[in-house]
Amino acid sequence: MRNSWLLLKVNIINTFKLNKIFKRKENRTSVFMSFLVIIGYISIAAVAFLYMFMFGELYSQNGVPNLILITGISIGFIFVLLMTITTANSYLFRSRDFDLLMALPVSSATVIFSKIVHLLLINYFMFLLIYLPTVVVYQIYNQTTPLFWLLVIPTFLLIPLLPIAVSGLLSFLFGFIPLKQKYKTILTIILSLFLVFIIFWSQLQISNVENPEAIFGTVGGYLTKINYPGLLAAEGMEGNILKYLLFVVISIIPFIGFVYIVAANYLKSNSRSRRSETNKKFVLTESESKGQARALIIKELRRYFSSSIYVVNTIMSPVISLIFLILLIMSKNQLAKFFEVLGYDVLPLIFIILLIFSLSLTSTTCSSISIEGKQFWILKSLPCQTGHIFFAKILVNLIITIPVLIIDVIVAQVALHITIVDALFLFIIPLLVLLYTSFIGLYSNLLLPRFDYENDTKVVKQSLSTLVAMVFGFFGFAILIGVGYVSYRVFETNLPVYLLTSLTALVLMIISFLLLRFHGTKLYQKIHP
Amino acid sequence: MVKIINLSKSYPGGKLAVNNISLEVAPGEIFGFIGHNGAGKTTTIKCMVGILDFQKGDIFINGKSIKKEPIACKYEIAYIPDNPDIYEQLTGIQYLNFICDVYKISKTQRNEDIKKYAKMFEIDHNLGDVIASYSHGMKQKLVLLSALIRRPKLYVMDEPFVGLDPKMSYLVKETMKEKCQEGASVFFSTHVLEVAEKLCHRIAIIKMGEIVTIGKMEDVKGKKTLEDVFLELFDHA
Repeated sequence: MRNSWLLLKVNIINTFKLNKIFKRKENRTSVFMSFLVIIGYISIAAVAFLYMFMFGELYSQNGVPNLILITGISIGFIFVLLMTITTANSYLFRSRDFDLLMALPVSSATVIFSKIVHLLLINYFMFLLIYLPTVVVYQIYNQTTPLFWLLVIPTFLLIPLLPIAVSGLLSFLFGFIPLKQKYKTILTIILSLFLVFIIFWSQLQISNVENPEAIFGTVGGYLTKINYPGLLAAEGMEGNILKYLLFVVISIIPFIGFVYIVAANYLKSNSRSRRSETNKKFVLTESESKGQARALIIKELRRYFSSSIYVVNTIMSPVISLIFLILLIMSKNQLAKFFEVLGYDVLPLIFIILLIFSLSLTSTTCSSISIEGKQFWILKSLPCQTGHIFFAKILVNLIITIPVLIIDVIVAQVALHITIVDALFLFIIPLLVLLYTSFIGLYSNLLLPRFDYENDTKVVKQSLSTLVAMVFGFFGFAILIGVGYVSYRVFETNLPVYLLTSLTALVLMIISFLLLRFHGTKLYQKIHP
Repeated sequence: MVKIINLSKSYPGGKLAVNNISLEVAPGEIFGFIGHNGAGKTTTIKCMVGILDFQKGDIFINGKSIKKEPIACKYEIAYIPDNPDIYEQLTGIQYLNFICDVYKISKTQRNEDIKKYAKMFEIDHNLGDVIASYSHGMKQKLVLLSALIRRPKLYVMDEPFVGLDPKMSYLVKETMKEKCQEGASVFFSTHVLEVAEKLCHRIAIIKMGEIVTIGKMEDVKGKKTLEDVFLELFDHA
């Protein structure tokens, strides 16, 4: 047990870079960085609170305030499922510290225990962002009993167990697929996107119900179908002890099964993932030459598409933008009353809000420096301008996002017959936001690079630069929404809103560009891997 | 070929890694840079090749300042790090072509040199495999190959003999000599004093960021072995 805690302690110090934060000589920077992280965490919690209040208000108006709990629990369940499904494989079954850990005089069980507890802690840390607002908002709109409060902490501890077990087992089974690594990467990307599609599709089913009152009844039905254990937990907290006990069993037994499978196969799975793939038929032939810029871009794209976690995590934003748009178009009839009051002119504005929101969520650039890892020396020693290296990294984000943005505009144009001016700004404003998030993402990563990681997850999902870039993204989004709202209230027509929002987005983009161009270049030169 | 003038480098937090060092490497010369772990060898090398910036002094590569003209300097240098950490998701041939494209190596030259050195290092059949599947030694061979195909004027090598098998070690030494005869310079750090003694025209010994002795091999060691000189310098500290 002592060794497990030792390993866990080292892992936590390493993951959260605690030594750097508490190192005296670097105290000023560390305090600033810690401050940024806290701000980031609070911002995300604030957004979560806002969403839960929106749900609370909506449910309360329709007489079903008790749905708040099952909604929050289901969102948390899906969140943990998505977070673990992309990380469990690289964390448990393809771990880079495997050789080091196995060389230590500790048992496999000790190593596995520390790994699983670490995985749980990370998930609890993130799940708290959803669970806490859920409980608080539920308390505001519902009468709670002492039993409810007694079960708040056990439920918090139990909910992530099932999604972790499910996604961990899926990752484990995935290792058996007899495919080359690059095809497995492609398959992982496709399956992850499919999962997201399924989740949004189930949302779409809810919004397709024609009778608005029935929607809320159906919400419960669908949430039950999606997350039956969540419903048991919610009903258990509301007083049904038997259902709560069933929830405990449903959560714990698969998790024990998962721990057992990991323990029994940890060595084999990690050894299997280290199997090298060789091309015995290779014959050295003539090579073609390419330009310097093209070589850099191809190298960036190869790195990007070689990591399923990197792709899945960053391609979500543009994909979600498209899904949002389709959902909105399909819900148009149900929202008719809403648009009759506000006017149909407001529809393109809502599209723009959805697009800039989804595009400000993340960018490939916020981990594109860290992802170089120990190979960063190559970039630094190349005879290339820093600007060209930045350009190649930014271009990856544009290459994966702009085509989706164009599809967004075409879908909106075809489905809703918006005017050319609307379509033009539906493209321009998100494009400016995309450039802003690309520049500011790269700048964030230059501020907070991390090269000493064991798997891509740590830089793509768990790094400070990603969090800081997200805060910058929210900041940009909030400013644009503020400007858009004020200008709409003043002018009451779309064109001035478009112009003022475009201008603001342009200013944000220019500021972020200048920050990257001048301070970012200096930061790049100062980085010592 | 290389002129380091009063180079000082400290890391964030105030640690002085290199303190006011100066040295020169002539064309066609093999220069050995010797010192304990943490003496400042790798820091000096990283400053030379433009990976690290530095606070004081300057470094000139073929007459050009690495501070003022880093890109022009980098075209003249091939850097071989102590650990062969290269893009593992690329195949060997993709990595070599990437390097050739960035260094603007012509199609004829790259095809000629890749074939020649890949055969020499016995990795011609492995170039189609992803680098992740390579052993440490194979990665080292690939890094060395990627340096040679650039035909640089200066080779900067950080501990180039660590992890090499005897045959490869011999090949590297012979290649270093051959390149110097062709007019290129080799600057390398090492712990293997016997190799330095046999190979280097001149050496510098660095201790706690400062050069304690520098000169022609025969002048530095006199009638003693290099190991004796090295130990004397460090024992009398």
